[in-house]
Amino acid sequence: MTAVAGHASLRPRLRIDAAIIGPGLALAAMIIVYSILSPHFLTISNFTNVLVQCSPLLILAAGQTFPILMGGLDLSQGSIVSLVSVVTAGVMLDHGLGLGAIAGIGSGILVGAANGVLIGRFRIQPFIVTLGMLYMIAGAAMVYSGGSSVFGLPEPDVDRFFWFGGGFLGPIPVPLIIAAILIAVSHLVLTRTPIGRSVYAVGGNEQVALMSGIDVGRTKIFIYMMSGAFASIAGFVLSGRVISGQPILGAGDLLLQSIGAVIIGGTSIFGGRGGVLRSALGVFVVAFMVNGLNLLAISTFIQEIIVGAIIILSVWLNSLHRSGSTKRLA
Amino acid sequence: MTDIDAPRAGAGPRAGDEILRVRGLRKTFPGVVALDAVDFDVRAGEVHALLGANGAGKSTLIKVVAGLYSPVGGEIALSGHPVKFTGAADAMAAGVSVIYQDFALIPYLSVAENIFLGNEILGPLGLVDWTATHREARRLLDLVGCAFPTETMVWELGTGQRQLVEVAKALRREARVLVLDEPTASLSQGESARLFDLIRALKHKQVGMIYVSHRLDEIAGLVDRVTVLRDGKSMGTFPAVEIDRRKIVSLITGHDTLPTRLRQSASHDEKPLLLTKQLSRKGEFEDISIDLRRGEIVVITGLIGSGRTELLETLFRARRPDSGEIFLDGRRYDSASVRSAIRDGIVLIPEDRRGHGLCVILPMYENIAMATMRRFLGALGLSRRSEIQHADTMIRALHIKPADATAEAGTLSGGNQQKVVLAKWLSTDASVFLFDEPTQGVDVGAKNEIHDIVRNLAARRKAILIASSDLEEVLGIADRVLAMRQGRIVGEFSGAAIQASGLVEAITHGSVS
Repeated sequence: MTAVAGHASLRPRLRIDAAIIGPGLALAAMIIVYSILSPHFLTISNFTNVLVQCSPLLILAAGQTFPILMGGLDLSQGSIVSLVSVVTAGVMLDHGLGLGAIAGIGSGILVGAANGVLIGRFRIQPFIVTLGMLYMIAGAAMVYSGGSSVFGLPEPDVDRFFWFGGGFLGPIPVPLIIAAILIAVSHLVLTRTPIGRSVYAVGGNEQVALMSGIDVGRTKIFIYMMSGAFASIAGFVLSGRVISGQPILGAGDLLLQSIGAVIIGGTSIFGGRGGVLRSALGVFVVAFMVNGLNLLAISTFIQEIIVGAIIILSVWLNSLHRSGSTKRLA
Repeated sequence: MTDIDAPRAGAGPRAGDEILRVRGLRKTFPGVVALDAVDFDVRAGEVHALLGANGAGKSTLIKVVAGLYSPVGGEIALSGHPVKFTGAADAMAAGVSVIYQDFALIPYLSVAENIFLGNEILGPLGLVDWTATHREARRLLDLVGCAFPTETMVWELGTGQRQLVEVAKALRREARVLVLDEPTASLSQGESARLFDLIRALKHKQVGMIYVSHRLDEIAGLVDRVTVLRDGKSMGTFPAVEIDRRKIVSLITGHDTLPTRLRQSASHDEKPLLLTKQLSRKGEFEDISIDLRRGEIVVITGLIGSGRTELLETLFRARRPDSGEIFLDGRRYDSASVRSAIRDGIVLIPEDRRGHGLCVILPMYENIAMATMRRFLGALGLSRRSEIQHADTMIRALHIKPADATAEAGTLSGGNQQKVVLAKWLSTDASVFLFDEPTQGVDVGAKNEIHDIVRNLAARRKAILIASSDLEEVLGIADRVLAMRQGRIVGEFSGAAIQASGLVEAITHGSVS
C-alpha cells in the first residue's frame, strides 16, 4: 500500500518514464566514452554521417512499433523494402519518378493492408501471416525484377531520386528530415488520435478493447498498413541512396535491426507499453554504438555480439522494472 | 471399487481420527479480512461440507489449506503435526489435494500424462516409463469409473469426464485430505451420481474430504458434518443429522427471520425498455423471456453455471442467440456487434474485471475514456488534459482511490478497479446497464458505494439488470428478482415476495414455494 501512495504522490509532470532511463543512460555514457577515446567521434561530420546512415532504420523502427505495441510484430518489413525498390525503379524507367514513387510505395502499403486483413479479419497469428508474407514478397520482388538489379534510371529523375536518399536541404540531410517527420507523425497518431489509443488498448487487453466498443479488426488493419507504409518509405529512401532497384535490398538484417531497436527502446514485446520515441532512442543506441566501435577499429563480428547482448540486457532490465511494479499488486 | 490404496501414513488412520486441524486461521487482503479466527477440522473417512455465500471466505480457506495462500495468523496441523506450507507442491506432498472448479488439466496432453504431470513414473535411465505410466493411469481411471483410453487427449473430454480425471489425479497423489470445490457445478445428473459413488468409496478408505457447495439438496445423505462461513467467520460446525435446511439457510444469509427489504421500490415506466422473447442459446440458457423498464432494478440470481453471464453477454451482443428475439424500446434489436450495442445505449459491466473490464497496464484516465474517446478530441487530437479532467471528475464522484488519474489501473484494489470500469460506462449516455456480479471480490465499503451508484442510476431513469449470486445484494437492491437455474428462469419475485428462503429454494431446487 505504501508503494501505491508513493506512486500517487508523484506529480504527473515530473514523472519520467522508467523504461527510457536504461537506453537513455546507455546512449549518454556511450557518447561520453567515445568522445574521450576517439577524436573523430564528436564532430559534426561524424554525427551527420551516423544520422543519415540510420535514417532508414528510424523509419522502419517507427513502423515496427505499431505491431509490437499491439503485441504482434511485422516480419515482412524487409521484403517490403525489396519490393518497393524494384517496383519504384522499374516503373520509373518508363514513367518517371512520380509514378514510380506512387507505384512503389503503393505496392508496399498494399502488402501491409493484406497483412492487416489476414490478421484483423481472418484472425490468423501475426507471426504466421508476416512470416508467410516475408517469403511471398521477397519472391515477388525477384519475379518482378527477373532476379537482377534495375539500373539505368532516366535523367533527370535519377538525380531527384538520389536527393531523397542522399541529398541535403540546407545543412540537413533529406533522409533525416523524412525520418523526423515520420516519427513526429506516428508519435502524434499514437498519442493524439482515437485509433492510436486503440492500438494501446488492443495491446493492453484485446478482450477489454472489444468489450469497450473498439473495432479491433479495423485497428489491426490500420496497424499493419502503417508498418507497411513506413517500410515502403524506408525502401524508397534506401533505393534513392543506391539510385537503383535492388531485389534483395531488404533481405539483410534490416528487419531484425528494426525489431531489435524497438525492443532496446523499451517497448514491451507483449504490447500495450511503449512508443515511437522510444524506438528512435533504440535506433540511436545501436547506431552510435556501431559507429563508435568502428572508429575504435573493433571488428564487425564483435559488434554483432555486443548488439545481441544489448537486446537481451534491455529486455531483462525492463522486466526487472516491471516485476517491481506488479509486486505492488500482491 | 475395492482396491483404492490405503493412505500411506503408517498403519493408516482409523475412522474418526482427526487428519486436518485448523485453528484461529486469519487471512487478510488489502482492505478486506477474508478469514477471521476460523476453526475447522476434517476427520478420516468423513465428508465435511463447507458452506457459505459468495465472498464468505470458502475459497480463501481452501487456498490456505492447499498452500496457495499463507495465513496471517493461526495454525494448521496434519495428523497432529503442525505444518506450514510454502506452496501448492508442499501441500500436495503432505497429502492435501484440491480439485478446483476450473480444472487444472493441460488440454493438449493425454489423460495419462496429466495424471502424472510433475510426478512422472521414471525408468532406470531417468526417462519416463510409459508402460508403467499407462498401466497405473488405467488402474486409476478404472477406479473412478472411466472407460476411455489413457491416451485420450484431455481436450476431447467433456467437463464431467475431466472432473473424474481430476479425481484420479488426486488419488495418484495418495491424498489424505481431498478438497472438492463445487464439484457438481458443471456435471450432469448421471455424472454427479457417479462422483457421489466415488466419494462414498473414498470414505471407506478413510480419506477426509472437504466438500464445498451451494447446492443444499445434494449434500443431504452425503456429508457427515457441516461448517458454515459468513463474512470470513465460522458460524459453527454441526453434525449433518442435527441441522436442517432452514437452519443452514439462516446461517448462510445471517437472517434468523425473514429479512426486511432495504429498498423501497421506485416508480417506473409501464412500457418495457428492453424485452426478450424466448431467447435461447444451446447449452447455456433456454426460453428466456424477460422485460426491463426504465428506473427499475431487476436482479437475476442463480448458481455458478446457471447461465446468467451468458445471458447478459447475449444482451450485450458479445454472443448471438440461437433463437428468440430482443426488443429495445419497442423496436426489434439485432445489432451485430458489441459496438452497435453500445451505440444503442446498452452497456455491460463484466464479471471478469481484469480480463474484460479494464486494461490493467494502462492508466486510469485512458481506461475511463476508452468507450468515449471521440468526446476528448480537440483541434490537436486527443486531449490528455481533458481526459484527465474528466477522470478527475469521475474519481471525485465515485471516491476512487488513489485519486491519481495517471495511476496504472492494475495497481488499484478490486473495489476501485470496479469503480473505474463503472466510470467508463457512466461516461456514456447508455440507457440500459447490465451488471455481472458487480461487487464480487470487493470490500464492504466499496460494495455499499457501488450499490448507491446503481440506485442513483435507477433514479436517473436508467434500466438496470444485475446478475448476482450474493443473496445480501439481491435482497438489498432489487425491485424484482428472477431466479435462474440451469439456464431457465424458474421464479420471479417482486416487492414483499423477495425473501431469502424463497430465493434459495428456487435457485437450488427450481421450485417456487
